[in-house]
Amino acid sequence: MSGCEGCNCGSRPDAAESRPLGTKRVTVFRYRPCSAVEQGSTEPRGGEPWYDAFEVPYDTGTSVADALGWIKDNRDATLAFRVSCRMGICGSCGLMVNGKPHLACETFLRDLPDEVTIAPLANLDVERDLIVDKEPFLAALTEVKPWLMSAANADGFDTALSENNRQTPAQMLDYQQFAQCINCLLCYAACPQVGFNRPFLGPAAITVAMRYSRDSRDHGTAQRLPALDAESGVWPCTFVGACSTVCPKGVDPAAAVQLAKLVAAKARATGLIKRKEKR
Amino acid sequence: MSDLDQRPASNRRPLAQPLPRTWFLGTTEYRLYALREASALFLGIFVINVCWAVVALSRGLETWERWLAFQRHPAVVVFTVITLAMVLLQSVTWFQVSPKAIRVRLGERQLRASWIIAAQYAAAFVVLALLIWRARGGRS
Repeated sequence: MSGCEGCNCGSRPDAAESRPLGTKRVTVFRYRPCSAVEQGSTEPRGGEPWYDAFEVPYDTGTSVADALGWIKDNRDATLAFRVSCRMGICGSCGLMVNGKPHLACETFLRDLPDEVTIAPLANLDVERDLIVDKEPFLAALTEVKPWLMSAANADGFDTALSENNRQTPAQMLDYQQFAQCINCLLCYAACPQVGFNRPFLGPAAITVAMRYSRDSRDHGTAQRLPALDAESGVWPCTFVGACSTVCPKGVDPAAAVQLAKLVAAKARATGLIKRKEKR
Repeated sequence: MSDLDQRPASNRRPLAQPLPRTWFLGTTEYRLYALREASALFLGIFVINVCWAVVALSRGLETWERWLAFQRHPAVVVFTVITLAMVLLQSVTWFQVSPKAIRVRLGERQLRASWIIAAQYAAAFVVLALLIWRARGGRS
């Protein structure tokens, strides 16, 4: 039996050896921010995007990330794309494959039609070729304060292990699914509301907020509410549900956003009652 | 000073990717969502029609008969059938997605989504049965 010691991967027909399967035509979105300058123009303006097509040889194990690497190594060294772990955990290689958001490392040419079009993640600004600007997302992520806050020190980090930080498996179940988010932004590319409404926090940032707010050790929900209950917080979501469909980790951001709406609505209702009581 | 002079010393020129106007035709999921949103239009018009029925009823038999005659017009019948289909689409899709917002934990397990969906159908049928019973004058 072939394969690694102690595992059964050799029992899968395709895992033990890669078989060449032919070539596929891979069309890649290209964009140079300064191509006009590079071409000698005095106008420092971004160039127009264009598409380049390549015939890429593939076998049973060639992922889209491998195909892009092959193009960069053998056809065009200037092609820019992000890739890191190659095992669906770092969240770097999100892009559009034939119009749908995918992780390049987990999408295989063998499963795609003969014509494959690769483009940067939709709804996000393109920096160069397949690289998108993740800064707006990182700002949204910071806004929801993605860390555990203790009751005593709700403004800062609380990483000290103490009796209060003990948790039962049942309590962990409340947020565990949301903790699987790898910030790959496939959900942002799938969400039309992100496209319409740029200040929208977006599915992943709200999911991370709920990951912490549903944690029994956390006391920071009130600190996150100003971001969640803002006009660009949870409310632009109209429950299209595409974020959950494309999520490669089964996180279900649509569920997190609906739960966040409940948290925001409850806080508003409680606020109204308290205001009436004061009068 | 021109706008160019105001730019920071950077070669960054992020390219915006605006959503195409026909984005809602892009995938089956988007199309279904657009249909669900569009159903609100039919439901809204239907509600206006029902409000008109109440007003007609309050004005006397003649106006009420006129309203009834209007309901028999083929265009209104077609509209009512489409509205019924839209209501069913709304109900079925909302029942399907509601477990996302309703999370019930039973000890160390989550209650399955299928149970929450089934409970909603059961509640809907109970309400429907009660309404039919009332409409028949409280007789079984």
